Amino acid sequence: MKAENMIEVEDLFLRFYRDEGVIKPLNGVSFQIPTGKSIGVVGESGCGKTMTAYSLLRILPRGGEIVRGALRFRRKNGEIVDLAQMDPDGKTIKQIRGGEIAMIFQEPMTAFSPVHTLYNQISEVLRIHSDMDEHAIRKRVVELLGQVGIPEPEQRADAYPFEFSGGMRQRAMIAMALASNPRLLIADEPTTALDVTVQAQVLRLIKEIQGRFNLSLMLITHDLGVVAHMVDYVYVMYMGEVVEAAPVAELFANPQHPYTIDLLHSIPKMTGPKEALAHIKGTVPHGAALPPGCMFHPRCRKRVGETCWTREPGMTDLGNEHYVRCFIHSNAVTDISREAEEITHA
Amino acid sequence: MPELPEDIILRVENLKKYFPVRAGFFRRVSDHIKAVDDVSFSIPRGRTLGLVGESGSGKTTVGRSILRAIDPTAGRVLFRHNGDVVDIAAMDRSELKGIRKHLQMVFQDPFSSLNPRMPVLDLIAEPLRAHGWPLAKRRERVHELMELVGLDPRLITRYPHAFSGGQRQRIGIARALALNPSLIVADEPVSALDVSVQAQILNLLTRLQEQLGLTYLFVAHDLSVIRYICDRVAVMYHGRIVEVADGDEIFRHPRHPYTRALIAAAPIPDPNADWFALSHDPETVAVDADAAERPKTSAGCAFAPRCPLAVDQCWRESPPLDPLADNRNRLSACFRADEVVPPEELPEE
Repeated sequence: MKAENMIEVEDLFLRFYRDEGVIKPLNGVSFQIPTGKSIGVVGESGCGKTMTAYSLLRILPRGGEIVRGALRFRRKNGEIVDLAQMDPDGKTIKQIRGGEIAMIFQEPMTAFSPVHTLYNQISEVLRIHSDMDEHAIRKRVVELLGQVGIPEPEQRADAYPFEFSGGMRQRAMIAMALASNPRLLIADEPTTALDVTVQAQVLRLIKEIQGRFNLSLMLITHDLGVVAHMVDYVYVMYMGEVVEAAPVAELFANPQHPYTIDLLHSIPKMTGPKEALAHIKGTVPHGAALPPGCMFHPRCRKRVGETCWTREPGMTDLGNEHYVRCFIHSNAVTDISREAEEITHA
Repeated sequence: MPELPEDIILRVENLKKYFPVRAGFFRRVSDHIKAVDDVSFSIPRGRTLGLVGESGSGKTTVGRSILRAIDPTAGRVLFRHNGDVVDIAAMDRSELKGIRKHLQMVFQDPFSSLNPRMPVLDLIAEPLRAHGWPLAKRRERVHELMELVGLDPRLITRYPHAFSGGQRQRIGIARALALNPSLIVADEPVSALDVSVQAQILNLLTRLQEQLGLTYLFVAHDLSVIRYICDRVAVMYHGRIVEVADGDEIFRHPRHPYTRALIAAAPIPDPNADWFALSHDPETVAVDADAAERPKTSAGCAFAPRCPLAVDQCWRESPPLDPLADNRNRLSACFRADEVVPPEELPEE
């Protein structure tokens, strides 16, 4: 494992064995997060973003099995462990889950218990992951609520989640995630349920906190506008594979995978002339029936011929930490890119 | 008979919807929530009016009041059809049935708005059956509608679970079109969809408008979607319209501080734009995180607690929605509309 990395995911395969067949949400996902850095994971719903996060925490829904791959994580004490090998109910993963890796969920109303006060729920984290006494815990919870910008934290600590607005609830969730001083923060669509003016404030808070506590951040989002301002490096996922990976500025300036290009073109713009929106035909196929060859080929505007549906593209290194999984860029098929140019944007 | 200019298909006048708040042992009405408070606008035939605002702004309640899915507290909803002008707000149940086929709704969530036990044929044909079409004619019409919205008519016997979100929204649109309506109220029709699919549906709605001459009231929270599809935009805040302007103008130069704050807060898909600076500019919106929670004062402008331009007058009086002195085609409910400057740093393309 590289010294600068907090986590390394290598060739992760996830399967659900169901009566109707085998569902294949993850098909060889690899990524890494350096200590103190942030990555974004983007893609449409059904691409395996959330399942990747659940695999890391080993909180997969019933029937989910990691059948291959490694999830190497550097613990607080320096020890390197493979989360994929752990018993999901074992002692070690319970220390890591919520203790060293914390997660912020999309909908704070369903993630919190409605019948316990915020103090009750945040203090529980400290009772499990620290040996503080009741007095110290109270002090710490109030301090945390203050840090995430909740006014009058001393009084608001004893409120119930329903007494908070959506933005305040999400702040409280961030406080809870920070309670145990985690090293890695996973934020799964943290602002999707919020209004746009509140979203800006909550995202800035997450970014501030990531910097202040030197956290590694994994931000899962479908919103390319959000990812543009939040992370250092972006992974674009499609059908349980990373199809493109690049530093954030590079990805927006110079997208290479047809999927990334089409995703970027399908966002309506706020300035400039109104152009017809590009869209991607069809939808993400069901995880039980993976297309042969390149998984994106049925929807791809740039597919170049038989190669695309008979062979699986590997990752091509374009330099500048930019990687793409597409035959157009693989050296093995040199004349393809020329043909592709002619078909492009027909 | 109420009057309406020739080209206007729908005019909403002073629409109000108050929900009673009950408290105490006898559940007496102690107060009212003004979900929609004195809203007026009109839509010319064949055009699209966007109604934009955050959750709780009352935009959905306006849409539902027009269709009489809920009964407004006060106001008129004037609608032109077959050369007549009628007031939908004043109609009784039997009159409504006759008018409803001219007004249809497309809902936000294509998962909960389709009955999972009905095949596509029955889903799309539901309004036809309600209007007494025989089966053979219904089947023929459903075929036609499926082709119109880009669904394979061979799937006519399938159930909703077999369709993706985008396809379900097409079913919802086909159902809305079944009776050849002239006005469609679309309530967040793309907000539950992925961007790639969202673009498909927006393009479909645009094509249908051209093909069938439809008029849309498009309710949404996403400004970029509104900009893409609407000819004219009305911004709502706390039950009132605070600004109205033609499509692009409102984005280039908002004339209400709330519109400006909304535009500045929308994430820009460009890592080089300093979006955090833009969205937290103290001249755009009060940065105080708690400001949004402060109760609005009953007398003044609802946006005053968050407004960087607020002066004493704003706390005392509610600003009327008036045409701007320099542009009679634009309306703004702000005493200081002239001083609103557009968010800077927005990258020009």
